[in-house]
Amino acid sequence: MKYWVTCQNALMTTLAYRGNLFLHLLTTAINVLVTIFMWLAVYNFSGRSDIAGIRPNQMVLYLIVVNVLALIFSAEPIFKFSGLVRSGNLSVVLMRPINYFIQSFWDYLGRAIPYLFVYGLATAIVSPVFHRGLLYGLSSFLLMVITYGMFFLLVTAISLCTFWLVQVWPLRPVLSALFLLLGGQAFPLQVLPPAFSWLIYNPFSLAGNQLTLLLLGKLSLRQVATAGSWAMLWTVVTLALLKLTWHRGIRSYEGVGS
Amino acid sequence: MSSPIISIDHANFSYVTFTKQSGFSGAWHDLFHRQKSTVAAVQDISLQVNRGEILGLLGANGAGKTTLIKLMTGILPANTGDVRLFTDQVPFRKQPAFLQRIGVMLSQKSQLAWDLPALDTLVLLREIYHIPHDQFNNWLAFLTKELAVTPQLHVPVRKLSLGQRIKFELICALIHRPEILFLDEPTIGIDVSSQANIYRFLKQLNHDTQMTIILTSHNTKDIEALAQRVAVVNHGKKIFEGTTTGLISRYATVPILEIVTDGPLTHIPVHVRQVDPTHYEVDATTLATLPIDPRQILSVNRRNSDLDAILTQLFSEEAPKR
Repeated sequence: MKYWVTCQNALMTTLAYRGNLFLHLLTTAINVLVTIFMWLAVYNFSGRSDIAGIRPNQMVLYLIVVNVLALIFSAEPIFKFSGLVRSGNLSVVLMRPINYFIQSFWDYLGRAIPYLFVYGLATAIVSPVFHRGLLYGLSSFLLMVITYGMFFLLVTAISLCTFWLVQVWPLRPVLSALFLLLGGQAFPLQVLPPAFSWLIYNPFSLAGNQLTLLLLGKLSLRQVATAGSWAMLWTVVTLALLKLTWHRGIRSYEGVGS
Repeated sequence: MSSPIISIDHANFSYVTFTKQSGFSGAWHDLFHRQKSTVAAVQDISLQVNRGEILGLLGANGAGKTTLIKLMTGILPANTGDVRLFTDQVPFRKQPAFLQRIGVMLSQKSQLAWDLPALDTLVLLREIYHIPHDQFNNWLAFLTKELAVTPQLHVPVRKLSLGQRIKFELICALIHRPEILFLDEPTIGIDVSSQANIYRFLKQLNHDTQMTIILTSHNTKDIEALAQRVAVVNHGKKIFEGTTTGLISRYATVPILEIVTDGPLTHIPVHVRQVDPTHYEVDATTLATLPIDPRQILSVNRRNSDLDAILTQLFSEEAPKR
């Protein structure tokens, strides 16, 4: 129940600044439009009706979905945790009989609820995911859940570098670039040469590219299983990293600023 | 006799800090050869607090009193020595059963969600501490009434005054009825009448529930009003432990003569301290006669040191050599 209240508070915080939410969505929409026009221009000037088997209308749909996913899979926990450590406000969190990571997960979930609602609606109504039988639907749902958990653990593990770095803001453009390039936010990774096909199993691609293809009905059951296995593997790696760095980091934490 | 609720035995804690050289060449040098230094924030401090006591921790900025609170609450681990609460609890382990029994209010650290009403944070705390709804509602109504913030419960925290925020921080620290309450600078930004209200409330709470209170403050009024016992920390070391009256009687043995002159003295005699151009202080016990020409004196006033004066004198002393 305490975690559910955390989730509710996070959602209310997101909705508290309506203007902020609207501007965030507007900025994302403009970015998506720019990317779409760029790709339509590529199609027009190349004179080809498809690129790597992807037609223009599929590309437009892909770019819209992957950008909604980028809103869900945000790197915000990194900067939130950095703020807590730099201001010393982590002390307040540490004084509560609560698991910080579980609380942080529910906070992460609460902040993403408006975008998860959009993705969920699109999956349930437009996407063929849940019209391909129980096994496929269940596998797809599991892939979404595991990937979401994996990505949260990844950004949380990255956030712990705050214990040793004073500022983590230089990471923001790096993470944006990683999601743009490795996550398939700027282009589907399938357009890359076959030598780079292994890139689709990196954590950013699992969260962006693979979940977009899932929603568009482009993944077979076998591909869903492979992506799920990779997501679980990354989950184990990030959990180990998290455990290791937390125990070291918390001993170097000084709770600055009285 | 029951064992102390807080027991600190020869605790030490040091921070690692960096020194930066000035100018561009210094910045360039620091880029490759950062100079680390160790600051001993707490040095060999031993302290025991009994259940139901109100202990005041006094010290100048950077003296180590907040670090001591951090050691007691488990925010920091002691480098050496032993810190135990409730006989067997090591704070740094942060066992949920231990955290359930302490309340912490760090005045410069907020528990409150900035964009939401204070009630939302308090409801979250209700769930975290597993407080039954009836008990929560009754206790919250009592606390908000006592601290005169009932109308502000539904106001977003960012719209509250500093004083109202501090009161809600205090409520957050008390909402689960802790056995030990740690208060770090609880009256910063609070007006005089609200301060008096908080003193009265905390005293009543201590009397009714035997809640142990550990209090740090720069405001000696806080300490004089609340603390049954004080520990003075200077440069990381405990230099006094006892009652406030004991502190005053131990250090206020020196009567001071305050002398106001009609103009600045051309020569300031030995044992005379200049406060401003026409205001001087003399230690009355060091001299048999006034070393200032009586024709220049407008007034002489004798006073004994108060707590502020004593602390000013104690805090201005040089760091003890190690």
